[in-house]
Amino acid sequence: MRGLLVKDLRLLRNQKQFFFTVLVIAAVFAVAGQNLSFIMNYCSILAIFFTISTISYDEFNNGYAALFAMPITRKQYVMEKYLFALLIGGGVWVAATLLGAAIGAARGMEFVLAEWIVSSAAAFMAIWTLMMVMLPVNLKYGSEKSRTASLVLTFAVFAGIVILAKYKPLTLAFQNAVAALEQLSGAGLLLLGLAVLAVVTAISMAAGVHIMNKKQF
Amino acid sequence: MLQLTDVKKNYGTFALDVSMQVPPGRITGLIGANGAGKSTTFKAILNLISIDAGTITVFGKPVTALTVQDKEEIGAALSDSGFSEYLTVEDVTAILRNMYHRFDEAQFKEKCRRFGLPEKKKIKEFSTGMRAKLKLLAAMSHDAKLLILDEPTAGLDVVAREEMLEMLQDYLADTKGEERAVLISSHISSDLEKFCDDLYMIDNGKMILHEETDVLLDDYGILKVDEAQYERLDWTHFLARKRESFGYSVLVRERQYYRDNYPDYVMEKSSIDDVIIMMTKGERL
Repeated sequence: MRGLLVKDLRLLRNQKQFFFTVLVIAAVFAVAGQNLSFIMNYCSILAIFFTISTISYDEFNNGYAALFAMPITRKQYVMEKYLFALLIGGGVWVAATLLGAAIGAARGMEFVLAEWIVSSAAAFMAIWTLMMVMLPVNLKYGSEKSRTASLVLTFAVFAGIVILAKYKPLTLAFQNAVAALEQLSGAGLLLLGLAVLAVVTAISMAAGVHIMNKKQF
Repeated sequence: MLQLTDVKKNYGTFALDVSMQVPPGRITGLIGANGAGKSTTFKAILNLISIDAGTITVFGKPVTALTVQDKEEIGAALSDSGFSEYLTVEDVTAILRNMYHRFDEAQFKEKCRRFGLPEKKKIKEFSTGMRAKLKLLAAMSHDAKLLILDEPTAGLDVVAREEMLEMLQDYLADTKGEERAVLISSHISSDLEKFCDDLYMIDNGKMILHEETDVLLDDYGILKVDEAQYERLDWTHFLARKRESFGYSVLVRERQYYRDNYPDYVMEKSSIDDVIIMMTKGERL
């Protein structure tokens, strides 16, 4: 596992120019823009792409075969990708949240720290959920095909929502659920969010391991 | 150390059906033309592909049950796969250091220097020969008991090939040699001729010959005979025949027997290439 992390970190160094450009754009928005949460989301979403790009490095030129001839299991490989996602995505999110708070304070913007953290946490949950979908899709289809697969998946989800929204009992149930959520306290919402994230992560990991176990190199 | 028993794998029209073993203390060669099934066999041994039937055991365990610790005892170099091209030798060193408990970093670095592999250059800028050297050096860097080397000398010039093969021989010649084994494939038969204790020959997914290298070189021969001579021959040690303009070329196992009993017949010593051609292009008997 440690060897895999070292590999991915070293591969990431190849993208330092891209990373630098991202930082410059973030800095411009931070200084000139009004919407600080945009910077945070922007940085975190790019962190996902950094994580996922390591999969395309691994699969390039049938690199998987050499990788799995080394002392790692397929399950470890998948687990490492999630750990790496957490390290990079989580790291960038923490940095962006702190930086956003600092810039907000420095610029004397109207700023409630608790609100900032809640909105930041909500953004992270959404971004993490996106990552949990994209990781197994990328493992399954590879970097090229997964772009199409992601589009198809997104379309399918929206189409599903539109179709399901036409059923009255479902929309009613959804409205009730939203109403129930509004009754929850901040901590309660956070706990619920974390529980949902844990379930999404567990399902995504299980799917990732299943996909890798089936792969032939 | 490594045993394949009735291993079957079907890919559309291609069917692999092989049995072989690699005992400790030996270098076993696998020869065959491109597409004969060498790489598929290697991938099955490394559990990179699933098999449809049969068993593969490494260190006495089914290959699917090998632990990460067991896999540390295997050093592999594959012909169609290697480290990411975006890494450098320095990166590879760091990865190996964190992958293998017995990685000999000092020796690996020294050998990379000796074989002209720059530490900070990306692998994508390496020549084919340099990539081959890196794969082989990495496979031998962590004191593995079993080396699985698929075409490790492909792309190397003659001098580098000799050096690499010598290094492999040293690997088995040192004090731990008796506990180590090497399975190596190559389409350069002269490499294997000098180097392997025994050879398996694969064609169209099937093992068509297994022989000790010494026996292959000392006892095998090719008779060049016309039709009348062919009819008078003892067929007991025939392996394959091939139609020629003059009659037949016949690959036989007991060269001396035919020399003694048919002194007037033309008998040629056979090289490994001759054996391959006779066994794959001729009619096996």
